[in-house]
Amino acid sequence: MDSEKNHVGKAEVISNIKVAKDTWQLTLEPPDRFVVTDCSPGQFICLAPLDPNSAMSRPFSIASISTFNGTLKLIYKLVGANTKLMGQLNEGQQIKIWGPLGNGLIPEPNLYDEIWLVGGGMGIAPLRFFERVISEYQEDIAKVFYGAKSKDEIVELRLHSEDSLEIATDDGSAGYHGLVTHLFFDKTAGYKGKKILVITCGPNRMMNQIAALCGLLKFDCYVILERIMACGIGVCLGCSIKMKSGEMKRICHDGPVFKAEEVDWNALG
Amino acid sequence: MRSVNQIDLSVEFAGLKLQNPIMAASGCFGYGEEFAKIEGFDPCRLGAIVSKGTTLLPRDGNLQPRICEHQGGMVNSIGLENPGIDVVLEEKVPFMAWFGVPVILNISGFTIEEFAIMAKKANSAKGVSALEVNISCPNVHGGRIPFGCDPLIAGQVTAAVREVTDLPIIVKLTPNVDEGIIGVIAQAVEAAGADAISMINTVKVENVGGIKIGGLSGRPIKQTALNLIKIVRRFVSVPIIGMGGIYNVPDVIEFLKAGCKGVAVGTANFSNPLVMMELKDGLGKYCLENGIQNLSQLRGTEK
Repeated sequence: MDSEKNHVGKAEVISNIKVAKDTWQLTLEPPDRFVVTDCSPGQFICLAPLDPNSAMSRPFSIASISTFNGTLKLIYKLVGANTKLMGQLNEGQQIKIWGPLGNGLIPEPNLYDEIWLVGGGMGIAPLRFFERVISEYQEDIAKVFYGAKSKDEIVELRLHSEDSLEIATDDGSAGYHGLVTHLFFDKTAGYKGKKILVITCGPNRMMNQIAALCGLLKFDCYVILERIMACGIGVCLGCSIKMKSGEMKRICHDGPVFKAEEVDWNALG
Repeated sequence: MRSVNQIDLSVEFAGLKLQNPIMAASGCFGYGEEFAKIEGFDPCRLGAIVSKGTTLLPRDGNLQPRICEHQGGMVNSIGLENPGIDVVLEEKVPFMAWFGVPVILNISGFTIEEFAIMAKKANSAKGVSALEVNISCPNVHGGRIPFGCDPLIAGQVTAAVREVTDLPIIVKLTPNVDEGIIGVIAQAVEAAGADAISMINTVKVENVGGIKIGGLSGRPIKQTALNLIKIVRRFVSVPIIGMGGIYNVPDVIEFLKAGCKGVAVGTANFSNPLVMMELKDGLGKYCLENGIQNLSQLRGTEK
């Protein structure tokens, strides 16, 4: 799903609200010719850095789109100078963005008994978009596994079906007590031989383990990789990694969604 | 009343005619394919395109991490990832040439012979307007000390390239030398046949953000670039193409006033993909407002 053009321009802040501990959700109305329905789950946009001392663009996964309002949402955590400034954005302010970037993925629900979306921390952001898209094709096929450190970091996802959500917290303050990886491992019992598609996004270690289990159980698995990017469009080569095939791939341009079996986890450092 | 579009921003150097002095810096523009997909970015409006650093053989580049922010700029350690000169000449250069602006092929060798082989290949290829010779690469026959750190070796590389090509040669200087020697290096490459000098390459830094040795670019190196350009200007008569932390029109003016014929924009492209378009338009507007008919009126006005 490589859109023809990447649009650059001023996006208007429609809302910017706190949705969990240090976690915010930004709703943007993108520039004129940036049509949100051109975005597919897994794609991202870049924000021009808000901090004048920053040299690199700021990539964020698209967490959902509203075809009705023509808006898109980002979920972000306050971690540095730029995200702190993002947290201060007010309704009506304009910020420079470009996108949609990278290759998304439209899963084919007909091929699978179930599609499992496994997110750790901020990795949940692109998976929310996946859940919406999949549920539109076929209800009750998507399951979401969402891991966070603690209950107060859990973002309310407003999924198509909340019954499909399973939460894991490191401290046990909500849902399963432990890593989402282990929750996922538990839930795979009895599913061997079923046609399952797993899409995962989160820390590399988590994705690596989930991908490994999917390999054993013969589940199809896609991972959504992240890496610091300078440009987000494929020119700086800052996010290039060597795949198992030996081929170099740019996470921003050739991903960020990759087939799990293609990824050499050592290359991610 | 003249309009911005009627302002003549053209510059000529090394036998190249550029419609304006704004060039894409090597490594910050790929081969133009990605920027051509940015709405509002028209490569046809650039002064020239400079390719990603090209080596004789394909290279995978360095392991992660490769980039990080530092001092308001950026450190990179990409390691010259590129598909090698044969693929570049066959597949990438024709694409770049399609825009109708000069295509400058950046060649990066690890031995003098490699530079010469690449120059020879480029000489007989279609679409290359000039060569930018990156002498900041480690010289494997010289203790891995970059070619550009020694005036004699820098001159030898230039001469070897000169011998096999009629293309204009732009030698790109490294700033990672003593201020006292950079003029002599510039003089050596001029004497060996360089038609122009571009400067500066990235500034060497160590142990930043998990990167052992990297090159700093962007805002924090602008003053270094300007200082070194002013030194080199006194040593050579060939034109200078300036680069290092150019973000806005006042930066462009500053480099032109320091004596540059052209300017290249690198890191600034990353945080604003339309910056080169904005600089081209902004420079026209500046000239219109300041009654500048020709960029030579600005050049070298600052001592």
